Amino acid sequence: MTDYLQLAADSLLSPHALDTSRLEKLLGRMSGPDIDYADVYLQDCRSEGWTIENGLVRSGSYSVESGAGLRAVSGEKTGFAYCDGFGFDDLADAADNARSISGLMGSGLTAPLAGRDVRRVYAAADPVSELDEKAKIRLLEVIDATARACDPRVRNVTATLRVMSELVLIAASDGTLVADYRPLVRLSVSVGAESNGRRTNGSAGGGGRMKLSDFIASGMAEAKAKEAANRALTNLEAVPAPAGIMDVVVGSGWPGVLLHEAVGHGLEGDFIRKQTSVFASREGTQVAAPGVNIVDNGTLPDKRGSLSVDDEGVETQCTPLIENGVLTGMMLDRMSARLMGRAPTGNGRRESYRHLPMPRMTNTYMLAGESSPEEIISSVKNGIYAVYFSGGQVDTTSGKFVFSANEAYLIEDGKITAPISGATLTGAGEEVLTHVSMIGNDLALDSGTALCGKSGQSVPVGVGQPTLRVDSMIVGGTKA
Amino acid sequence: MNEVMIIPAQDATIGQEREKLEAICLSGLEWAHKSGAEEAEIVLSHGKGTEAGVRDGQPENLTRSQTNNMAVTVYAAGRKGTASVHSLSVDTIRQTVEKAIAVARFTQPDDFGGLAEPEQRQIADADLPDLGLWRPWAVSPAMMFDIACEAEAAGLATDERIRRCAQASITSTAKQVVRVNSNGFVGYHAMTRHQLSASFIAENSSGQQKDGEYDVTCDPALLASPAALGAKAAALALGRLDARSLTTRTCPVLFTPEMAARFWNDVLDVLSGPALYSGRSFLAGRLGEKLTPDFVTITEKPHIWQGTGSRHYDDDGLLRQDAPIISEGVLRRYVLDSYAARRLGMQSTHNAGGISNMVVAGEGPESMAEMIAGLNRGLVVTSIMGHGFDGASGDYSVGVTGMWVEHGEIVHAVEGVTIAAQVPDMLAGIVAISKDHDRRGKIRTGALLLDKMTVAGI
Repeated sequence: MTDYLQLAADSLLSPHALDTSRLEKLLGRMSGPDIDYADVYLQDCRSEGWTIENGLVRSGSYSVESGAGLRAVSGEKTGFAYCDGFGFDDLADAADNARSISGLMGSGLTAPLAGRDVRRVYAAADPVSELDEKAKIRLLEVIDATARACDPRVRNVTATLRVMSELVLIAASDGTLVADYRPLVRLSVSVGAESNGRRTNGSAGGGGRMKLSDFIASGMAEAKAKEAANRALTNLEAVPAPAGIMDVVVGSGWPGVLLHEAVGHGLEGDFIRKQTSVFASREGTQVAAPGVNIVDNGTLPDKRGSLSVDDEGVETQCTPLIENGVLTGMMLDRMSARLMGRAPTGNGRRESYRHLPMPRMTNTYMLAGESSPEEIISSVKNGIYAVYFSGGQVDTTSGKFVFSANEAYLIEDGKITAPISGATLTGAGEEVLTHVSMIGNDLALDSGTALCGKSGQSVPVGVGQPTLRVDSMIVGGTKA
Repeated sequence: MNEVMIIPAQDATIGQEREKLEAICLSGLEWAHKSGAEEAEIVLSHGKGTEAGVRDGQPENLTRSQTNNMAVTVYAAGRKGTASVHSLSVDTIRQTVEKAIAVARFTQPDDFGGLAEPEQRQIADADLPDLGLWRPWAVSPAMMFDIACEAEAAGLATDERIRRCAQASITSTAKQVVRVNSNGFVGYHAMTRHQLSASFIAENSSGQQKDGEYDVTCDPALLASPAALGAKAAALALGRLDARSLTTRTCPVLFTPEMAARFWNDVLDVLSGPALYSGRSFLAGRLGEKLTPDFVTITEKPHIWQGTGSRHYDDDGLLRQDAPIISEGVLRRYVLDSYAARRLGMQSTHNAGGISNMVVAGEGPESMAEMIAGLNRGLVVTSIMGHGFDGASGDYSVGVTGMWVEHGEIVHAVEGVTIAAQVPDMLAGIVAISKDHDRRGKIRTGALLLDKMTVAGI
């Protein structure tokens, strides 16, 4: 097993004349009686992207993002500075800048760094250099051909393969010294179809924290090409979505973005601590229908939202958020945990060294219930079956959320009938979960493409749920 | 607190990075040529910034940033490769060029690829008008905290229903970009941006609501007064209290200038090259067709004094053009870079990197307030949620919050509804555009009144 601390020492520290004692010096510069916590986050991220568009891989890109973010925390105050690269002088300047949030001079005193290994939830893979470029291009060509073979009405196929490997080293004033090596594979496929002058679009994708060769061997790429093509073709037949209140069956897997928006963000510790979340004082109360269990789980093997340790060096865990309808937990980074007198939950995440960590989701999903998906659909007289969404958004203060369907159908007399286009679902986070009337036995996570944005920072996450019946949601279409 | 003093920084810094960045770029071009690239483009940027946020009258966070970026694009044997790195060192440029060439070995030849044809007439920098974009601010973190605190205090003082400040912060950044290509283009762009923002939580028995306000300018002297901005942010949050849904209906919809800009940004997307050549635009093949009523004019204006998007050159190194996109309601052009133009068999509209500033003009009242006063019944949209626009089909369906208006008066705040229509119908159904343009973004438009959309609610 690769020793990540050794790897970090060899590739992040030694080449730049850094070592543990110099990291301690930096932490000491930021420490003092009025500083609760200080950390240094070193990151080296390499990524490669290839896009096939209209049958040709017309461009490829390679990028290196490496540098350090330094942070000093005093009570509710945070001083933060970052620099590109790992020059000691630049790091020292950044430390002084971060320290300036406090009026006092640094004490120079910090706990000695004690390196520790962490439990791993994904393999030490390097999807960037593991295979040669030809293998990546061949994969994209297969996707293009697979999507086109679905139907002559398929006109445009665009697929992007992005692979990333990232090495991070986290050193903190409490002696934390942790390294992690994080692979990430993401494929996205977008297919345009055209018939009788009507143009439609379908998208799909997949990936995770895994070896690229494992991703290729899984056959997911071909499956996603077909899924995107079929989605575009289905939309060619779509009728305008109805408008008004309806019972909605939300499919399993990726539609779990509903939970991510409706309750996930509202249970992030910073929003709760600052009382800007609709769930701020709801702990211990019934916020969802009985039978609803929701967790945030950073430990699922190879999943896109998983992390062995978060960006503050805390091991991830499975945190129950809602148990049998009762709000029981929240997601915390070190700062919100300390200020709220709780233990961190391994949810301190940041987009990169150029960003401050904050409480973020990992893989957030609802656990399975007992109903079969068929049973759930046949229980609805007139409603909507939403299978795939193109995205969502929430206002954490009011709890209002919205998401847009890329594949949805009418349900008439318990049967799935016509596909519909232009459907948007809206509701309030604290209401929607009380309207869950049936929970499927088919829990699935999304296939590994979700990107979550918060305060200008994007991080990869996972979402998931079983098929759900939600009573009385507002469906926004054009057909009043 | 004391009056804010605006101390202009030494303008001398503007030239300093330029020479250094240009030298690195030129050495990179030379290396690209030696390494077998037929054409190359190198873009270097250097930015500095400070962000200060406050909470309860105290500093909450201070972020100091220095960002460096190097992006290399090469064409070798008709194949394109790009590489980028967060560094500006002379050593790195060679490695980055080599990496871009290595990538280009595996991409496939693209008949439409390559740099833009160089401009016929070369214009000396001295002959280009100053756009007023470089106005550094010698502001200390302490002063920034004071400004943000003033905005926070002003908001908190407006009404007892304003319970908390969700966020109050000020950011000041300065960025310099050098772009060179092997066709002889050398471009330099420097810009400062200073931004003040605040948002508040209003609460009463109906629940809690958040809203906020921001201002962004090149010149710190023009930044909104912190007290006025804080008070306005709080007023917006208060205006959202007691929001309720509407029954499903078809009615006129009025977008605030900020939300109108967001709508026009969606329209802009389907006028762009990638949407057109990859079948994601319902406006493909519609040049010369009438899209809106006669009175609507949409024009790109690259040279607005201190405009957010003001630029002399596009990212292909071509001079930006002051040219209509829609006039007399007719679609006059798309928004294309050289690559998209070649691929579509058209001329570049010098829009590599997107639009500069876009001005939407039309007939309508002086202000949104007047527009609301003249509205018999309708929904005013003050925020849009979700991404419910499908460029291929033209379906538009998003969640919104806003206000319900009857007989020219605001009756109540609205939330939990969606609005939906076909974008072609929305464009054809424009009733009026007010003259009070939002100047903060690249898209400058007044409030937009549409004849009807489907509002879905309870």
